[in-house]
Amino acid sequence: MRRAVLILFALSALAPFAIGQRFQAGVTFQYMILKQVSIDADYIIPKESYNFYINKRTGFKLFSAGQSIIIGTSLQYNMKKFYVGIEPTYELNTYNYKLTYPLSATADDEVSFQTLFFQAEAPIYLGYQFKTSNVIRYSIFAGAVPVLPYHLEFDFNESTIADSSPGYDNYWVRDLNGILYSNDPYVNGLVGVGIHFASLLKVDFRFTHRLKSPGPDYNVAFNTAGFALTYYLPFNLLKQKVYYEK
Amino acid sequence: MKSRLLIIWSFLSGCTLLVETDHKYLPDVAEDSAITLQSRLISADATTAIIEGDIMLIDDYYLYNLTYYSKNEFQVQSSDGATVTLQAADIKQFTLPARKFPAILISEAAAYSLLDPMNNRSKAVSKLLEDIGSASVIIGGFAKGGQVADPVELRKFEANTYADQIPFVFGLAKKTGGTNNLFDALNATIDKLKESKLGGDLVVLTDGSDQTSSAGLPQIISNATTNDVRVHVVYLGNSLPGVHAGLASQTNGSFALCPNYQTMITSLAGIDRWSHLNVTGYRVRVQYKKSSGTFAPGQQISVSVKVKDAYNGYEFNPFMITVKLP
Repeated sequence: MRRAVLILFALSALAPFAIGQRFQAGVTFQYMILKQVSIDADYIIPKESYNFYINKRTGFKLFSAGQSIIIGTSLQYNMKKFYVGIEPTYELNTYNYKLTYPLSATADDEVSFQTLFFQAEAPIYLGYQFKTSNVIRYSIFAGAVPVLPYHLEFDFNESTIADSSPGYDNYWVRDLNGILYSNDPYVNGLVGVGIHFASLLKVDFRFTHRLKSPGPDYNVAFNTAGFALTYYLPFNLLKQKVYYEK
Repeated sequence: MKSRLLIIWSFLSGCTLLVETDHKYLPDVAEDSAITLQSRLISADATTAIIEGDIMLIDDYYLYNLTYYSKNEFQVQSSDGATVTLQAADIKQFTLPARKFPAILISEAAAYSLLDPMNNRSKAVSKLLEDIGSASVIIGGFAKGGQVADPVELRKFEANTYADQIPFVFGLAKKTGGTNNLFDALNATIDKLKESKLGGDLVVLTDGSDQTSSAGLPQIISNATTNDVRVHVVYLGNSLPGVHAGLASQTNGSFALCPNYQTMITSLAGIDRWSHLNVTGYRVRVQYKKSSGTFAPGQQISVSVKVKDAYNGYEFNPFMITVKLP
């Protein structure tokens, strides 16, 4: 997996040479604001501490479940109405997860874990374009996103009852290791719909779903949705020749 | 070539991934603690007794046995006005009796909401259960007039059910309420252990005095010794609980006096070395001289000993040496 991601990044170095109508190369910026992170279990028993948390399955949340910011390059090869895209990108991926720790018959503590990933990824997808005019085209696309995490941070976000620094005295900051995150590369499924503005710009709405949970003990749903803006470099203009008739 | 290496180095220098660890963490608030493994009477005449206690000093992080304290860091005191003198504090290796069918009782009286507001006891019990490992175990919560069954809510778990035991332990914490009924709970649990016909090691976490039970201390001690049950007591509170120390001492159990939940965590997690029957600790010998009169037959005498770290000033929870005179 790591090798595959490295190869894809190496391919991205070819972007400046992708000159011509069939090839498009550009830069992409993506912002994923709608997330669902949900552990499919009634309670959590961490591996690295003696804590115990009561879990509530959660649905999609806007901003509060976490966000992703993605920047990188985009390579697209057009085959009539179909196109294949590769986007070697870097992602800043954060998510928050709240669990309940039982204190007594009348009180609970809510512990919020915050995870931050830096990850390299390379979405690969196949798209189909619907032409509506010479300027605007619509498309749908689907594919997979190999992801290589390379920097991981985790912290407490807040704790409602602990009277000292949030959570540190009573809980272990790595309690969700192997449950919500791990070092291992993983793959997301990807679907989306896009609007293409000539050969210069694509705006799309995309949805990703993680195909495998980070650890073996708990099934975790990671679903993310957001927008992508891709600007294609106008290399085709370099080839343009203008002839004048005398 | 240099530029390629520079690119790779730049990428890798940003990598920060998890280092896996086998260590499981107790809460950071835990503190080092002292536990009495056994007390014994060496000699006694009409006014003076020589008593001895085997104790463990336990590190809060890895639960190591600490053995770098010298005699002058031990301070002995009596609660009844007797003259007490420390005679020896020697490092020894003790061989604990082989452990038998384990049972764990946890007080769920309402007072625990104040004594242990962050419910650290359930974490410490989890550590103890992990140490017990694959054995079958009985777990119970007790209180009278609360939400647990009266006198004790017991459940027997078969071997290798740690993942089922933990939700039960933490579920008991959601049933705090009522008052302490230690003796009735002990009686019912010892009756349950009778079924094993092997005896048992019963660890109990309790606080305060029992003012509601119909059973009394002599009955509990008789029931326990008859059925070869050792009662190990972790007491959470500030008083010097002679009754509880006597219960542990007379049933050959361990005793930990914890003035706060910080030492309770370490004591409860480390009170019994299920898989380590050879432990290193201190053998402390004390001379107890009555201030007036003579000993009565069957009298219980207790002294408390504190260890104060001369280097950093940390004062361990006091450990008690408690014996019953013939």
